[in-house]
Amino acid sequence: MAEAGWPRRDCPEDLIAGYALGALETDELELVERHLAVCARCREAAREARRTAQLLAFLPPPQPVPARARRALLARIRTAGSPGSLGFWLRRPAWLVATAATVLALLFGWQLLQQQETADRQARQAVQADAQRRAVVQLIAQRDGLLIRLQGTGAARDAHGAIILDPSSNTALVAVEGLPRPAPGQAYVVWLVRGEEYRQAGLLPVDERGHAELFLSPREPLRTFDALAITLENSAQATAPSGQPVALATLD
Amino acid sequence: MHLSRTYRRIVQWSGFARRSQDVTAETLTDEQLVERLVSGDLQALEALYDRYARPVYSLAVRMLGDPAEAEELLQETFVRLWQQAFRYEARRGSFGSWLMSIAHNLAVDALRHRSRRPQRADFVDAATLPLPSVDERATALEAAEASELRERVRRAVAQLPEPQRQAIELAFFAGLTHSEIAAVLGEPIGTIKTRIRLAMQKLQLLLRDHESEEPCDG
Repeated sequence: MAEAGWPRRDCPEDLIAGYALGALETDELELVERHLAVCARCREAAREARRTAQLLAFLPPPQPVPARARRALLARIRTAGSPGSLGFWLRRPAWLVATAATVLALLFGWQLLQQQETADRQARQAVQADAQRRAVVQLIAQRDGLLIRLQGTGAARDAHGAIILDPSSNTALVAVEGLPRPAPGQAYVVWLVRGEEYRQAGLLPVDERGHAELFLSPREPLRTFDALAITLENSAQATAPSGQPVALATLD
Repeated sequence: MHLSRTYRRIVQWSGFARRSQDVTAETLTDEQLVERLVSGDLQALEALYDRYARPVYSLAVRMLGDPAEAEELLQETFVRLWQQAFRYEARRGSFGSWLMSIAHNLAVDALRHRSRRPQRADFVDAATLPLPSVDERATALEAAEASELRERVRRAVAQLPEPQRQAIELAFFAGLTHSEIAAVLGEPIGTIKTRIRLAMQKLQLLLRDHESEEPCDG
């Protein structure tokens, strides 16, 4: 593993406690998250620090709860509908819907442009688009589906996108835009991270507009992985990450 | 026979499983209640509210300082729970820690939002308002884990040197960054980082036996 030999002096140890408490500045946060993508020892330290930080929530002295809060909550819940209902789904948080819409627009917009190139390609891609649209709609329609935002770091700072995760079918779609084209010989590699273990999940092909997408259907349950990382590698055959981290998302 | 989650949900929706819900929610574990919550059982939500409304509300009052805002945050936390109970995984930690993380994240968001907008003049003296009636169930049925942890964490934090305790509390309860804490306390930022690091190390040691679980992401 690339991270086994990570020099300890480069670990941002003085920032881990602040990371767990949410006390870092934006640049420090980016630095720590980039580092956590490649250093299992610091990931474990951050995990332990978060466990401790979470316990602080129980510290405040107990306050009597106003009775009206329960009534108001139940009224809101009855309006919101049951978690399984269509009404509930339609009232999901705006960011979730917006991110889903962005992902869909990204997929369909990209494919629409490509379809304009030639009639033959148009027909072929229409079939592909249809299959992909069905897959995406299926993923989003799943009650248990999750959307996780992806934000680029380092050289790919402007990159952003999302992972649509469907635990019930153990599939995921990674969609990113704003990725710089890799130099010849280089490739973006997607990794599924579990503790110190990195599983190559595939290559992320980038088009001339910086769009990239990858469907994942790993053999092992996605829920058993801690994070998804994207690195820029000098070889598409990389079996362990040694290149620059591009994006990291925790799958908690 | 093992039923997939989808089939379990269909059975529950169809009403065939109603008989099994005769068990009093109060006797179920948090994890069992979450399972029922996922299938839309409002009784399960109320049982979890009985157990955790008080710690959530107390955290909100401490962080926001305004009982009305704290009440809104309490409701929002349980609405999120109703909507996202399926995200909870028992192997990653206790339900209580997971729920408190949701409340804490909402409170930090509220504090940061508040700091970005102009503050309104407060013309009403809260002390002159009539006291609302108290939810006795939320006091009587509070989760044992919450009250035990409150005492353990209080004892652990009390063992920290005052400057370390102050730095930790400004970070966690006021949602301040290292540099904001440094500005508030008039200390160099390096000093603040060191205090926070040492405080967290000590708390980790003092609360170690509560750390056998994975952290939860709210």
